[in-house]
Amino acid sequence: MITGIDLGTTYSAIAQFDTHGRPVIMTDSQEENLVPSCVAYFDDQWWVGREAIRQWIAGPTNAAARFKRFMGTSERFNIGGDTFTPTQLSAHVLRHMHQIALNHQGEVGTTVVTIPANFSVEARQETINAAKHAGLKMDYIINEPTAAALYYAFSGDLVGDGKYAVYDFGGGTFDISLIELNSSQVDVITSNGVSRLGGMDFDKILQKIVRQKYEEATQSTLDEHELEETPFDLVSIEELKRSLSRRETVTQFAKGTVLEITRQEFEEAISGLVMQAEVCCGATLKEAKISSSELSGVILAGGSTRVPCIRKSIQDVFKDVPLIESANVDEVVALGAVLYAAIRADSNEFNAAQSATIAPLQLTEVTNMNFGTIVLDYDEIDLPFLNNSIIIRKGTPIPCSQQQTYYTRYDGQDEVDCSITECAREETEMNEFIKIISDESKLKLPKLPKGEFWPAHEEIIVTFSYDENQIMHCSFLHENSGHSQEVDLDFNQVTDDTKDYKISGSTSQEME
Amino acid sequence: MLRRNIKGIEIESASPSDNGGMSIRISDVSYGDIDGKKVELRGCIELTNKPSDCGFIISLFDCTGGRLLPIQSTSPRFQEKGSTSFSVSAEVEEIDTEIEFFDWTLVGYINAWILNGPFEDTRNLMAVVRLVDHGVSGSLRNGRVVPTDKILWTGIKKFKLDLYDEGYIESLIRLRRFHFTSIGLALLIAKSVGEITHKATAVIEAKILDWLHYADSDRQIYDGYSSYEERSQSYIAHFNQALQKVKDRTLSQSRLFTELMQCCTSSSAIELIKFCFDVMIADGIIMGQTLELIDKIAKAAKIDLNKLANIRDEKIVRLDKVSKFDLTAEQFLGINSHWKRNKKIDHLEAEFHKWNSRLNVVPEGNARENIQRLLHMIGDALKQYR
Repeated sequence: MITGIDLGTTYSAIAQFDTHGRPVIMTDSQEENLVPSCVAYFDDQWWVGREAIRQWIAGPTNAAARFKRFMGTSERFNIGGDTFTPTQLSAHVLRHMHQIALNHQGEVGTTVVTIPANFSVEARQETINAAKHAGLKMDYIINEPTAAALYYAFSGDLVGDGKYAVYDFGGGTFDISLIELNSSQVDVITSNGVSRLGGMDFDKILQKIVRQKYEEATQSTLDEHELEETPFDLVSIEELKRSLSRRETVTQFAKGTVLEITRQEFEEAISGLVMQAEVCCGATLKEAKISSSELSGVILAGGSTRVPCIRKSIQDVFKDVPLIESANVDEVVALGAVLYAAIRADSNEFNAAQSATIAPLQLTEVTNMNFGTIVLDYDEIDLPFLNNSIIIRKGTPIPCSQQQTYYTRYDGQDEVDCSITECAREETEMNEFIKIISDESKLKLPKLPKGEFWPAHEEIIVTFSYDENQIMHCSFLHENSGHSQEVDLDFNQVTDDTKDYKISGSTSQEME
Repeated sequence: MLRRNIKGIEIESASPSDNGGMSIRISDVSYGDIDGKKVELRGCIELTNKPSDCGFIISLFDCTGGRLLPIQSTSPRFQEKGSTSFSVSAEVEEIDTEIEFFDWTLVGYINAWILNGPFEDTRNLMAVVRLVDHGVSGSLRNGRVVPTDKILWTGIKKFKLDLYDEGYIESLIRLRRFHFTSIGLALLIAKSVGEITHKATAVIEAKILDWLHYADSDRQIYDGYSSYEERSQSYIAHFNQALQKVKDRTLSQSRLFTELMQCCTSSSAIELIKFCFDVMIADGIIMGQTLELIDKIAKAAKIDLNKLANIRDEKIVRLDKVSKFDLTAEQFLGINSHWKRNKKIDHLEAEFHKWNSRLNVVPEGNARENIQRLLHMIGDALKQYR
């Protein structure tokens, strides 16, 4: 069985590619489509989902939730006196989702797990690690908005070929992608997002409102422990948020005190956050040089798109562009993920219906970072400075290969630093906002006879090639001698040290 | 007053008129776009022993004022091994107890463009040509050879040359002016949040120590101080005077700006702005008036606005988590209140996009938290304009 998992911040979902060639959500043992991304340890065993979230409400010292936001960071969660990384906790959730699939059908083959388009490289890497530690046969990951687009390319619910925006506002992150649909081919144009913007941020603001109202009404102060109790706990608050999406005013009972919360005050309080999503959308359209009038539709994904002020914000940004939400916004990402798993799986094992589904589906992703190398440059008054020379630009369709020629600086220079950088924005002058992925390799120019030296301005040809398997091959070639230094970056490799990419390097001499 | 005690260097045995049986000729030469001089020898040198391996080394001195001050080179290929003083060498093949050049023989070029003398102008220079035993070149320092018994022959020749760049003594004097001006400006920055705190003065003191530390190199012996102690006492005294003036409100900002415009180079301007930001963030309070003062300093130092923004951005992300932003997003992001609404929105959106793109690239911790704070600040600011 082929599966796709949407590993969400607040809820996760799993879909299978059924024998009719359709993506179908799998329910858990309680017949629920969504599983809370919550992990707990009690009664000498691990629990994931509803049992875990009940424990989280009762006493968060035995449980953890909303850890996805901290993937790839040093944040740790305490459960029963032991500390756990977000990767370990995510592995528990993925193992649980995997078990749901096993319960449905005894065997699970290829699995794809989704990640936010704007996930940091570390977070992306840690998701892969979590999947491997959970025992999943996972060879690929896919960006959440891309998965949603892929589902709609399959479903035929779109108005036709053209450009679409995928607006994915989930529990922990906000993503916006622009795609072009041509028949059943999905070409991603560009993706952006805000890493720390989601429903959980709205919950915290709503919790603050409820707390303030209670404290004003009772002239008392709630301590942190009381905030873990109903109705101040985040699960109750999330329920309240859902109610506010349906009603203008919601009455809440808090320890015998009646509180009235209005949608207006909630929306006013979160308007700064909503503005962040709006700006991100505007910048993405500008970056892609596409006006909203050129869009055929806005595909919605993520539970936060149900919040009325979010819907108004979408209309403000995209004007009269129709909203596409025929699929459940909580499930569409998992449905797209399983289609991607099917695309990447061995098609020889498919029946006719499955092959018919997959045959027309095609997907082209783009690089979500700028990749470059550090070179010495001179400013307008001839002062030297370190320049981040970008070789592969963000938004370049994958696979791609780009080349730049540089020159040695001085007579007698016999080596060249082979650095590789990444940045989301086109930063040129070296600064703190450019991440150096690799800087340990050097291209050595061959030695010349005594008394001779390589003159300045020797050509160094640098080629970066990014393939469909998320591997970037980097070559630094000394044109005159043919000597080269190769560096391969595997963005999918499981690492022991979660902070580093798996980097392998070789020189042309070693290869001979 | 600073003492102008510029040390000279004595050249061993030879005098301009006594080059033994070997003559030196220095003449103009052009190669490509580069003008310079070529140094040639003609005649004979008799040696007492037959050396196994030797060569000619040319050093240069400025002798305009009667003292011999070494000429520096900006090209590593034409520097002594242990210093930045100019040096060019030529190996001698098949040596016997006598070296004889029947015709003018080239032993080295002097590229005027790579030379840096003590002063800019048309200067009287002296070329010191030495025949030295193998391995002695490692002992050459500022044109002087130790031990001298390795020198087989020394010849000197004077000539005139136009030196185009600011001299190193001139630049040292300007650098000191720049340091003193920077101290004053940094104290004004520290004062802009109210009282000057210990944390702010600690940053300034650390910077002074940094300057003093790096001053203790070859060239710095010409900056008018006879010792490290004398230099440090002078800097400390200046710091104390400026601190008192700032406390008494008698330190003139406009005078400091005028001085800055005279003594600031583009690279030192960047150093100054970074220094100002370091002083600002030391207190953990970011105030509108402090940023305005830094903007004024940047303007006086003629710093490009993009450069200023880059420095500001880099410093902001280093702020401690507990830092207070006692200013509006508009002040923080350099938005002028006279701008039209749309221009403000465009600027805020551009800033949001910039910081949002950087969020996942910076290391976790303070940098990410500060960027997150900025994003919230910008989001809230945009609410009022839309």
